Amino acid sequence: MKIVAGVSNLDEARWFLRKGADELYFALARFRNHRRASLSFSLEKDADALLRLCAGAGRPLYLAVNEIYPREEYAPLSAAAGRFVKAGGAGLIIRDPGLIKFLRGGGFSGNLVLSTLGHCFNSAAMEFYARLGISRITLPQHLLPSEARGIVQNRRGLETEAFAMINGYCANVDGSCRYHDIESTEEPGYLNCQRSLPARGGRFRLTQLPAAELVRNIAAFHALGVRYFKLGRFHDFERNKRGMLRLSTVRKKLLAAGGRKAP
Amino acid sequence: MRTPGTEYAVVLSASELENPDFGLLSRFQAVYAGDEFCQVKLPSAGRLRALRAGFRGRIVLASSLMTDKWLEKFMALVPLVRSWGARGELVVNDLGVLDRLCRRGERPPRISLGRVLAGDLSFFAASPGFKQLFGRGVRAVEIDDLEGFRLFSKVPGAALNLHYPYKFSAFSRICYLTRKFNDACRMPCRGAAAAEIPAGVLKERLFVSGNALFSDNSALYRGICGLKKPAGGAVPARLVLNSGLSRAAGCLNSGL
Repeated sequence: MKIVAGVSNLDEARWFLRKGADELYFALARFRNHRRASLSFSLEKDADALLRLCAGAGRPLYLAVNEIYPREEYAPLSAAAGRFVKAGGAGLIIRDPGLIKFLRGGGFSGNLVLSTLGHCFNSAAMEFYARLGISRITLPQHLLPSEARGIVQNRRGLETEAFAMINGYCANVDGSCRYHDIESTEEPGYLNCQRSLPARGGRFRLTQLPAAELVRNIAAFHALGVRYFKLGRFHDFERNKRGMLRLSTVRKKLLAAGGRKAP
Repeated sequence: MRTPGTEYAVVLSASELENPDFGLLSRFQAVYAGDEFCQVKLPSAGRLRALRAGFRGRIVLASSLMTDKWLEKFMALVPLVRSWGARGELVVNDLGVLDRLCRRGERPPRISLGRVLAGDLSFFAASPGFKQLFGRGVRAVEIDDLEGFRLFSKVPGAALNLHYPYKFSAFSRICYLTRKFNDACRMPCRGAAAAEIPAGVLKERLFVSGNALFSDNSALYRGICGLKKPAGGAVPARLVLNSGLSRAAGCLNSGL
């Protein structure tokens, strides 16, 4: 079982590596990605330092370019991706089928991890992405372990990754949610999806899965054969820290119980 | 009030599909069965046949993102829709489904990209590269906002089906009503009125229906029709009324 952690700056990266993260990922502010700009690296020199940090620790580093881009952005993205891999980066986290095709067609040799935003909910979607050249699939947050068998135990040899979600869970299907954009009129910055809202005939709140169920899902995904567990980037680093510590504990318990050993 | 050149369609709820009012349905040229956001609302072959028997227009089978189990159920319905020729159509929101349909030996029925998939692919769906991968069968795009209208009206040969008067804001696989994953349920949402969250805390009024959130887009249609040269002269090929059958029929009489 490998722990993948998203980082927003060098301090976070150092902390996660110290605590046993097996792999890190980050985003560059100059390329749109699915999290707010403040969670991305704005300075190239910091990104270079992150690459050196991971290389020194012997841990792979991935760059998230997980949006759909206009065709004119493919060439600069491809050039940056090529430089990143040449400098030691492991590959990209990606969702745009056109960009995947463009990169593989252009001889991009790095790994391509399908973002959870690729909505790979079934084996047919997995087959499609495998043909395009994806090397690892990140499962959608709203896919249950019992529904993921066909994807995880695929014959293509694709690796799979699941969000650990114990540091945060999207109540709506990530990538198809315009709810965040419906800004609140009070307390700007407060996430809409955590609010209890007045509704006709009562109050409305989006469903958050209980923490115990999220932990059970990690064990079930692990038993199914999922090898990578991801902690997403969040604005609240203290929450991320707690997520990492809990996930490390879950990993220890699973290994002690005779689960799949981390290679 | 009808706009020349625009086809009028209505979205049937699960309960309306169980007991279709064919008198009201006859006022529409197309009817949507199924759901773009919930796989559990996929109708049975029996329900579709009953609808076919009483409705002469186009039947559009709408589908959502799908797990393996539901994908197979959906694919089993495709031959039935194909047998209706030009009177059958699919709305597809799952890339795996789209890939399966476009790679099969037989010509797929007419396909429209659903709002989730069109949003997922956005620039790519509007690019020539998309045609190379999925060219066969994809003839239309479902839209419900101005951004979608502007993006896809530039795509040659793509008909635009505009949903009115609600646009989707978000959906979850954990149903807002049952608080459970939508793998199996008896659809307690069918026939239930959408709960309303008034504007106030949020800037927009929202409607909660089953596992999806919607907001009002009624100004959009008037806005599009009011454009002097709307994005290259395109007008919606189809107006998809999603306010329930009786209200939709009323809209046709009284104007939008």
